[in-house]
Amino acid sequence: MSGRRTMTMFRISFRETARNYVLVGLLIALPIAFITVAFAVTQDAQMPIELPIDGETQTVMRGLPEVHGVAMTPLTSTIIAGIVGLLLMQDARNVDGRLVLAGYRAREVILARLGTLSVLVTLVTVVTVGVMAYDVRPEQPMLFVLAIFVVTLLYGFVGMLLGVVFDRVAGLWTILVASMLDIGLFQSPLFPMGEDTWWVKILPGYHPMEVVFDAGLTAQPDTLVHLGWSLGYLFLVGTVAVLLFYRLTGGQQTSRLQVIP
Amino acid sequence: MNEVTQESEAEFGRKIISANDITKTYGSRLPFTRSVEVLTGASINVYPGEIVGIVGENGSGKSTLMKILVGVLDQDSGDVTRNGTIGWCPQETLLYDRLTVRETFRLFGTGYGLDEDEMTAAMDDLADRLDFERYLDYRVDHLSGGNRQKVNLGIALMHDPDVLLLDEPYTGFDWETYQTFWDLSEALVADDISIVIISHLLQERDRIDRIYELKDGTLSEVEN
Repeated sequence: MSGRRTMTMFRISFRETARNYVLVGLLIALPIAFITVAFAVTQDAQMPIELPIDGETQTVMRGLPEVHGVAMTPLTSTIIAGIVGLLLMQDARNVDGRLVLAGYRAREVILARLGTLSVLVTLVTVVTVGVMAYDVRPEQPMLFVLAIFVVTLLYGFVGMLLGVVFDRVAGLWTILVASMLDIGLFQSPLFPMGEDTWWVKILPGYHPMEVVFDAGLTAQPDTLVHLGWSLGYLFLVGTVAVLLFYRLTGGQQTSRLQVIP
Repeated sequence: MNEVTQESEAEFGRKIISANDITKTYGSRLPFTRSVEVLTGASINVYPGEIVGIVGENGSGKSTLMKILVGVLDQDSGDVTRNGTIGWCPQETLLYDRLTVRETFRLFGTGYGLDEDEMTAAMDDLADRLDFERYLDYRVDHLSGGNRQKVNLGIALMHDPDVLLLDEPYTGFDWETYQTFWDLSEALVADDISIVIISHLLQERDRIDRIYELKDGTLSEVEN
């Protein structure tokens, strides 16, 4: 029975999200607008960039379009995933609680919602990296895809957290600004800020973006420690998001609509 | 326990819902804002096969009381006992906008524990009685307000609950649907199902067995 409820909820949740035409439009338009156009308009020149090579941070020359493309890919994916997470949490606030009262276990609803988020984050990762790969291939494709997936899922959870605090419009603006500042500005080598300060290091994008640039622009992995921190950060934010989701869906309650023995 | 309630208990037997001394205050986490005391000791009993009305001014706490009776909201103090299955029709139609009516029934029917045949039978019967069968494949966000409310009511009824809790149930209903609603209510009551209706304005007082007024956070039975 539990498996049937979870699968029904997952199918319906995915179908409902897929029918959000604004989201589908964003998934198609944003990668082209942000990544393809970034390549097209960026001057074909070399730029100095600090990258981890053989265990040391070295200043090397890389093509400006490649750096710009690698920087814009996670920015695009995090904005879309943040919006997905926000919308999922908004639904949880509004309607999922009624489902729990109808007999769904809170864990079944949460599992289905996390499944939906994971499938959509995978889709966003594939689309954004695919659009980027049309112009440039990352040096370490597997690690690059993994890093993009992690930072995208992380921002999906951030979107869920914002959905607890803000309504739809305020949440959308906040996720846009948060992604732009964290991923697009503070973690981007296009806007060097000198030595990373402590507050830059605690932002969600810090560790995964180190891996993104390492995997995108160097031939050997030098940021596996950052990948570990990224996964830890992901676990922490994901746990908080799940707990809040559980609370919002009335997980502490038992169904009052089903037959009481 | 007052006299009217004692008579009701003798007449109807066991309580389907019993709430005693319910209090609820909405606190504010923001500075320079005040908390709002909504319920200060509300008590109500509901017995099988009766229609109970709860009236009160706007903002008197009727929807808060309903949510506590259903179990969506926790009270600060007091006890709520429920002896049976509950059908809940909230004031705002809590449905997923981008699902069709048919998908919505399937989703909630699975939660209620109905099998495929039971789900289909319940959906077809309610669609026929409430006259929304031609909208079964419409998305919820493409329905008019009245039809959304019909689906909202249908979802609350599809598992044959022992008590139906309705918050402003006929908002958006046309006259024909309004009459259908009362015909349906009478049929439910004949099957020993209880109905609790919350409204700021109860026009059909002769159809209602008992009426409570929610005022200053407490409930008192009024002459019907």
